[in-house]
Amino acid sequence: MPLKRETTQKILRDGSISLLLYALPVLLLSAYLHITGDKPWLRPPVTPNIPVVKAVFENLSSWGLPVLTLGVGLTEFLLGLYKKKWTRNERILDIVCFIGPKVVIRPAIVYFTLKALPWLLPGLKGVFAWVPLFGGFLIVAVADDLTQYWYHRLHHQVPFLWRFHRTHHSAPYMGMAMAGRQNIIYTIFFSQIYLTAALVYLGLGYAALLVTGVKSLITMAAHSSIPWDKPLYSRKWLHPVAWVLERLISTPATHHAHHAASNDDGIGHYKGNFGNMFFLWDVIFGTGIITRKYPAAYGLEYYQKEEWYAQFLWPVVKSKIPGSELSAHGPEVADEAPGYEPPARLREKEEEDFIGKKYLYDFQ
Amino acid sequence: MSYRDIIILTKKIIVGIIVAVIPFLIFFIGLRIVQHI
Repeated sequence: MPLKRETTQKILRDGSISLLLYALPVLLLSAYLHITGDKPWLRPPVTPNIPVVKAVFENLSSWGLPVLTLGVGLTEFLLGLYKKKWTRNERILDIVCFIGPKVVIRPAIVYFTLKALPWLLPGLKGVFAWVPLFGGFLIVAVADDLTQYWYHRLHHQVPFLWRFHRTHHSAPYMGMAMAGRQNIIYTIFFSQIYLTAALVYLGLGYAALLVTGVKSLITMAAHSSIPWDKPLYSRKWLHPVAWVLERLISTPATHHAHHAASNDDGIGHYKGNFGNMFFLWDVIFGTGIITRKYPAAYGLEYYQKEEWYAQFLWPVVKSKIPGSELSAHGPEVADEAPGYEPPARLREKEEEDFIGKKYLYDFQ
Repeated sequence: MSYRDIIILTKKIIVGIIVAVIPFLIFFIGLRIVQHI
């Protein structure tokens, strides 16, 4: 299935804007140093000494986050939020996806950092250790999250990439169980992991520790089936807070809309709301919809309940289900049903939403 | 894995590398310039 012309144009236009967004933290840092007259690279680098914060984030990135995920997941399960949709096949897939990457990704990153980077960037270890913490935080936050936005968006909009990301969207429920549910190839080649590792190698390690910690908490909360953002919409005096928050970071309402089974109700928006930590990218590029409501159903309308091993290992292992996207000769589509041709009126509306940056609001 | 799968996988890896390398170059060159202004 070829990439649509208007999609290509939009990707190129937003890609060009992204170059400026990437440069923005460096420009801000440059302006700050120019105004203060400071030249921090002329003195030995100072490691920030905030032991409590450091301990929290170090533990978060090692054993802290998996324990937190299990804790929230158990709460969701006890509250009955998975209903009866967590079948044996889905359970195995979610558990394999939770454990698998920890076994595969960590050694890959360690290898990349210790072996590949000294070879790719010889003599540059710690060369930017002089960057102040606030500057490093901005740089790593934009580097990591905008890169993940693009990685994610391309896997939805470019037909040959979709099947690597399909596993994350096949879950007919939201929650901790599916937060890390990804095809192994999608996870291994996560662009932002390697970019952030390279920035750590160049000396932005402490900033990366803070960013990845904050990001993990935000993305975890956005995937959770506990709608923590609901009180922000029901209490009028909290509406200004909600207005800022839902445009800045991913919330359950905006991210659940991304996992909706359908776009037809005006709440679901599986062809947008791509942001992970920041929702701001969707606001800037016009790929977001904010409704403050939750979709009625999650997953893929055309889900064929493919075997867990095919969803985890495609294209190395294929599904035996005839006609499945993951089968040996499965159809190559973007994030829409195989063979699906939207009615002309809906197609026009989608283009209008997409190009015109149209947002839906509901302040009820 | 078929020949077609290998092509798709190769294209996917190339896209992944481009998505990571472009911002890396912006940060690297940008910070180097800041250091030398």
